[in-house]
Amino acid sequence: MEKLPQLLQDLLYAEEYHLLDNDAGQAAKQAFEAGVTDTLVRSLISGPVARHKIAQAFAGPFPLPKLVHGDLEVGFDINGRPLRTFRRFANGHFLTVAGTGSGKTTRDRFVVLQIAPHVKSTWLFDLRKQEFTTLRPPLQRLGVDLRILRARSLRLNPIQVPKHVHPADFAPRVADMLVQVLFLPPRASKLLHATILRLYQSFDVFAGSRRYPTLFDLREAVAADKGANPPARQAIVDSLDPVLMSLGPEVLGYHMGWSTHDLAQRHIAFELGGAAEVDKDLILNGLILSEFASRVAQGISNPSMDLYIVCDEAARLVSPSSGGLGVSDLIGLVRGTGIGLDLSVQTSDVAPAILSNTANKVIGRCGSATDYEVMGNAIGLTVDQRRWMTTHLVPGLFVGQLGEGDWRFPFVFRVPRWNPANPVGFPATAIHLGDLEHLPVVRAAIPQTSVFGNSSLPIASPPSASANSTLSAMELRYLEAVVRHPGKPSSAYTHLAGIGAKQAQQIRKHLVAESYLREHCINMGSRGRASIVLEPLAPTHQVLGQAGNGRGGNQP
Amino acid sequence: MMRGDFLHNEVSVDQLDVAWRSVGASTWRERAIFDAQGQIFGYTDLLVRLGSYLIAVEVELSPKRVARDIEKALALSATELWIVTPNVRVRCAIHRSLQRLGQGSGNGFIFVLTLGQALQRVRNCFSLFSGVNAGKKQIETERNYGHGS
Repeated sequence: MEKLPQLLQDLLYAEEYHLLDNDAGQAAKQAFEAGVTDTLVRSLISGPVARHKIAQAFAGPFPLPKLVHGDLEVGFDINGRPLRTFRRFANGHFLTVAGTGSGKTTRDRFVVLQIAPHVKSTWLFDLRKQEFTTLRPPLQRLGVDLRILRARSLRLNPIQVPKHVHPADFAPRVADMLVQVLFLPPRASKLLHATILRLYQSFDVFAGSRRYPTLFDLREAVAADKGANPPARQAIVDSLDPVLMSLGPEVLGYHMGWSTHDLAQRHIAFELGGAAEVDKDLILNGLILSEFASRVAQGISNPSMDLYIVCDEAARLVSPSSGGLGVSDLIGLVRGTGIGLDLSVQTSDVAPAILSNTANKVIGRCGSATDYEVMGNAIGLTVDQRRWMTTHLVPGLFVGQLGEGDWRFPFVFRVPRWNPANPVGFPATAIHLGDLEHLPVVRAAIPQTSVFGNSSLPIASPPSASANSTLSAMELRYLEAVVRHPGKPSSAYTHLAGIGAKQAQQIRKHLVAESYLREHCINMGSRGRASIVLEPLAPTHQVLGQAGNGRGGNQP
Repeated sequence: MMRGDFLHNEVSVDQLDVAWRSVGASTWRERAIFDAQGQIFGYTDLLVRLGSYLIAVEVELSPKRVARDIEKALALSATELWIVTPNVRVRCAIHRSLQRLGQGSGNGFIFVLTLGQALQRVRNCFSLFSGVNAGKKQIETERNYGHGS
């Protein structure tokens, strides 16, 4: 094969490493393409190439990165120059693999400080220590109120259906999540799926009720199902009991706990260090699964990132033992739903779906050759680069690859040390709930003998529909339309409830007189008469919670 | 959960939030405002960012907190303050309150609008602004002229 002319070789080299991106370089390239090969063109092309080769010789096997544009600093190169990319690229997710003490958390904090002020919400999960707490003072100075939560200050219902998700779609996902978290046999997945669907039916969740069954109800339902596969049933009961006893009714005893929709409007650090491993798994998987499922169900496509989730020590979340369930299953779908995920793990033992769907990868100092090998393959490192990595990486020094942008080569970068200005100014043990205390929850009555005593109680069933005996079917339909479509002018409910205009007016007056509804006059249009907007009052929710029983859970 | 009632949250703020997001704006509900000492100064019902606009939206059912709304908007360095009312009666009361404070609403900073007028104004004045387009333009500019050195 004929050797390429030296100038053409230089041009190709310069193109590959973006050496001709300036005006002079572009002019020289155009001149070369037009056939001009005089001294000036040669010097403009070969000069940068020669200088780059010399610099590269001192820089080691990794090319010196050309990451000069962007609004997010990844870190600093070996010469101390900042490396930048764009915040929106975090939408493609980060995966960091590095051993303990290699600076994973420091890198996370460095990135969070830059991203949090620009997104609606950040969720920082710390599963071992309380290292994100120190971010509160600097974030406060940046206008971000970071809430600090511990496992026992949460109010959750893991089988609560997230907003926008159909209960029938959520049931198999939550069943799979419980199987993964509780290490249940595969047969248990089917039993849980069927039981959750039955519970949704009996609690009228399919009819729009927001009174969801709790994990206590699930445990009782499974225990009472004598026809179920005995090993699967016993495994579920045995695994759920410690979780229910450990977290207790104060965390899990809610028909409606905090919704992830509300939590995804806030910056929160979840400090789960003190909880049992299985409790952590349940909280972490439950929250993330709900939000993922909600966003996937909404069909949002490529919005700007508004939720940045950092998960320090995420091994359990991304473990290959999940068998492609839970978050590993959903991560392929959530790209483009406005969630940026930053996962940090100590080893490369992660599910293949996680490796495939994290566009940005970072590797720090690891203790095992296998980790370097797996991540080296994922990033596409050469033999020289891998050898360099095993002997040169130190705490705070990483090798990374970005999934988007012009520069796709692996590069070496350093993150600055974390030196909080006032390390003792903020008590590390402080829980800061902020306005989370005011989020709406519906407490559940937990049968005292269910988990803590004998387990022969039947499924908790909703109270009997006696209070709604004074309301007709049409009035109930009208109330249901008001609850399902809040904030609409009263005229809209005529159509939504399928009732004639005159009759709807009479029903409305009756319901207002009976204190089921309250009327407000609001100018919904830019001109003209004010509309009447109906506010459902407490008796409405009470009556709808009871009324769905007799109608078989059909949607209106 | 915001601290207002049904009329405040589920009718007014919800609809405004949806309207703003439909024109490509970024919105934050119940956003904390910090003073120079880093203490929480207050919360704004809805904070909207669209291009160079930073708009503080306050839903008011009475004129009692208008002065506080102006202080919060100034602390935020907002480009506009929208005081949204459920009906014309409250809007007129707020106008009178502003006049007593020496702050006419025709100064291009404070807008007192009914909910319908606010929704109409979002559609009329901001539908051609698009965060997505602005981003594309920026990327295009950087591709053409940036990445130098």
